[in-house]
Amino acid sequence: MPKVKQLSVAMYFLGALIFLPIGVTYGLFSATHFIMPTWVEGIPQLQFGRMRPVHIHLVAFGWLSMAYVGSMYYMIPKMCKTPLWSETLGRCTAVAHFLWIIAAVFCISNGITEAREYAEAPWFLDIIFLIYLIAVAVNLFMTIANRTQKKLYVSVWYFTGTLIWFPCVYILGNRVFMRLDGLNDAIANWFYGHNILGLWFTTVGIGISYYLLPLLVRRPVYSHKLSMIGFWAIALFYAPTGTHHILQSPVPYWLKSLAIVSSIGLLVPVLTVLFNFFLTLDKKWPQAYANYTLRFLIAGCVFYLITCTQGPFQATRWVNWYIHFTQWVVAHAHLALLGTFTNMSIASIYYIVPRLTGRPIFSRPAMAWHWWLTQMGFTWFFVGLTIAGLVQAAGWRYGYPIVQWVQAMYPEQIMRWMGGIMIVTGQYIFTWNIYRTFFTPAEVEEETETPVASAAAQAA
Amino acid sequence: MQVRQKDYAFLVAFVSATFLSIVFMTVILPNMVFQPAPSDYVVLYTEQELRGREIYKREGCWYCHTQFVRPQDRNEGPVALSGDFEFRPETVQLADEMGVQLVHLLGTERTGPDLSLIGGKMPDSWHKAHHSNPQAFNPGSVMPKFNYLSEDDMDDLVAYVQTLGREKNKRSREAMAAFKGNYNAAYQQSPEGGVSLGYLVEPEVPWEFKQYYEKKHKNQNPQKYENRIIAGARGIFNNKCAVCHGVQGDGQGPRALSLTERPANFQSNDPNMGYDEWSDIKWYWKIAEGAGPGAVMPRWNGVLSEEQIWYLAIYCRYLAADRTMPFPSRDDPERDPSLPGKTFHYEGDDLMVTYPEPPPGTPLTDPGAITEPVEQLDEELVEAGTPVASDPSAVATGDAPADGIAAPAGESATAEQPATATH
Repeated sequence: MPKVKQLSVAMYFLGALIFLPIGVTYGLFSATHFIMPTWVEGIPQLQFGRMRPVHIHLVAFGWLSMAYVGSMYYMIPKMCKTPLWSETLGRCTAVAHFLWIIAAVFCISNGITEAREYAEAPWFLDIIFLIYLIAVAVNLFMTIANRTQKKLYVSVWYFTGTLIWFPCVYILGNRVFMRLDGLNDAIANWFYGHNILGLWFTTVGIGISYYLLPLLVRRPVYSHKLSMIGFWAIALFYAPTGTHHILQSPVPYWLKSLAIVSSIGLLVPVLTVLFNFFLTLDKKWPQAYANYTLRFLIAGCVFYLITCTQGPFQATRWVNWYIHFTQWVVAHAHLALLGTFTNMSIASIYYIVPRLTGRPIFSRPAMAWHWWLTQMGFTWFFVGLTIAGLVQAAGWRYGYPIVQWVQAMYPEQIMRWMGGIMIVTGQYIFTWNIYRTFFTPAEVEEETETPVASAAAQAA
Repeated sequence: MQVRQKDYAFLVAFVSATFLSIVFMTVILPNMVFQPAPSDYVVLYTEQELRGREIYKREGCWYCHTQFVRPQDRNEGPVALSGDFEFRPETVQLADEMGVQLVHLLGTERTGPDLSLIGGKMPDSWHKAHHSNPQAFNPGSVMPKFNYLSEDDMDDLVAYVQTLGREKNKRSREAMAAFKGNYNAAYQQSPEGGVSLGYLVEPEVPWEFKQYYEKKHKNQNPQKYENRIIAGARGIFNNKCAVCHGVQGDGQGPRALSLTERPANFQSNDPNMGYDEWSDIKWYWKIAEGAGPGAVMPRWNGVLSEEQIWYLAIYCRYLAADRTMPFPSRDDPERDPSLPGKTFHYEGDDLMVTYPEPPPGTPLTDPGAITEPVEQLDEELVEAGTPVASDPSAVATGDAPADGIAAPAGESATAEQPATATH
């Protein structure tokens, strides 16, 4: 392993890359249950009801969150022109995060679960994760406080907001210190279930994109003002949207209306952010031909556009009325976490790893394979699941016998499964590639390019 | 270089304030103002049922099964009310003592049926057998086999599953028993003004439907081709309906075994049900829209074409016209396969059903069995030539009296026999 500039970041990325292939394999395994429901019998840990939360924990909390914190540990010091406040704390948190995921996966696999979506980990792990989040936040806030760059780039705004919001969302969602009964539990659960996406995955993902995009296309962000509008709009509109997951349940009507209105309001931050991105890319699109990092980032942005136009649309009463409770929603969730934020995190890793190790990514053909397998596989996956969702919705709408539409979904499930195989293969190639980049012996090492200076700071 | 921190502190304060106000609005305020009282249908859990609830959570049942009926769900039952999800204080206390979290189990996606009204529809032993091998009951089901659950866990889980909608289902059964008879009469005679029964059974064909289909019925005039239709409908009936209602429409199909409520017996001579008086349109409506909320029978509208449902309607009227079957008594285990007391278990991969011992002295005969030799029966029918129907208005005999669409001569013949006799 070469001398790494910031070991905490490398630890986060290497940990994330262990959970990514395992997590997608879990996803593929559970998708296989839809085609061959009895292909593993008698092993409780490998049944759908337990694999699904494990899959979520591995990819959302293992892969994405570790890649996110690693990226923040790299980007915030760069943007503040100061080293990370405590590198030791950073390394400790990396180890803690890694062990936490293993503990959570172990607990859920063995049936120790809270049965709240995205919050299945038992209460003692909730408290540990909360302490962990606070440690990360303190480390990064102290870094920002010690900064030598006065003006704050918009990514720091996003990261700041996230580091305040996410621990609060986590406390509320896991009900660590309170108990709610009946439907209030559902309201709090979906407040958490949606805001873990909105105030953690989205805001950090957008922050990462705001950092990477100007550097990759070597041009400042189109409009700083627009990015501020996007930030404040997300702060205002994202948090109240959770109730749109239970629009047909008997929760208060005003709460549902509030959720729908803010869901539609989400078009404001999404469109401003993407307008900003695409205008930054204006006339620079051909660069994506040669640059896989930029390709992944643009793919993330395009999928973000699809996700976030689909989202407000399906949060309205009459669309939700039809597609609620179907695989359509599963497709949408994957569009956000796999299509958008995984692509952004991949771009972030491809960008940061050469700058950490001082050597280029080990294999460029492997990057190409990773790109094509991920995007093609995901497209298959998304289209398949969306059609399956429409079949299922029609089944519920017309009151068909359930087995009938379950069987009607079979071709689409095969399609999703095939897409899943492509995605999984791509992620194994990715992991192999990054690990080879880190661990190739020195004699194979080639000449490295010098890291690009922080254009992000100039853009501000 | 030291940087002024005032701007940044301002940002942090503003971000926090925005967020906290939203949290207040969407989490704390609803909890303050939205405190529905537990409804009458809320179940008081026992210790075993709470343990079962933990197993329901542990095995991730709630990832595929929801627990609330949405307004748009047809054929599922009464729409969930806010009070249905509260807990009785005793339940909360017991859960606290047991260290059980009473999380909501509304569910997030529906790969399987909604379970909020499953309680009491099937016997415990059916649930256990189904959990162990769902594909044996529903070929094509994607439910995992929970055959790894221990005996105790399975008992607890089934005890919990039986609580779901138990109160609602119990009321509907009680009400049905109390107002047995014409659905219409039941609706109107309800002492609670018909409102409380509103969700149980749709009483009469809705007038808009009736108007529309009376016109259609008149234009299409299916009665004209009735004989041919009955011959054709038999296939559809045997394919889709006979599994519960039996080939003869006597409510003794194989699936009747797994239901606690017996499927309708169209041949019953129970004067209260009055199946023989149902019009084509009423049959059409029942087949198209299902037996009613909370019943196991699905809506066939959309699954079958309009023409196919007309066929079935006429066929059902034809089956109902033959009122030779005595109305089965609930206490007669031989006549009613769905009586409680029967149990399911596995011997290897085979599902076995054990019936309770009949009272001593009861002759053990299958009501649907052919007691006479088949050859003899055929001769009889060929000789007779004309169908034997107790109600001539229900079965058209004028067009082709001898084309084999005869009603069975008695309870000893199945619906297929006349056809095989002449072809």
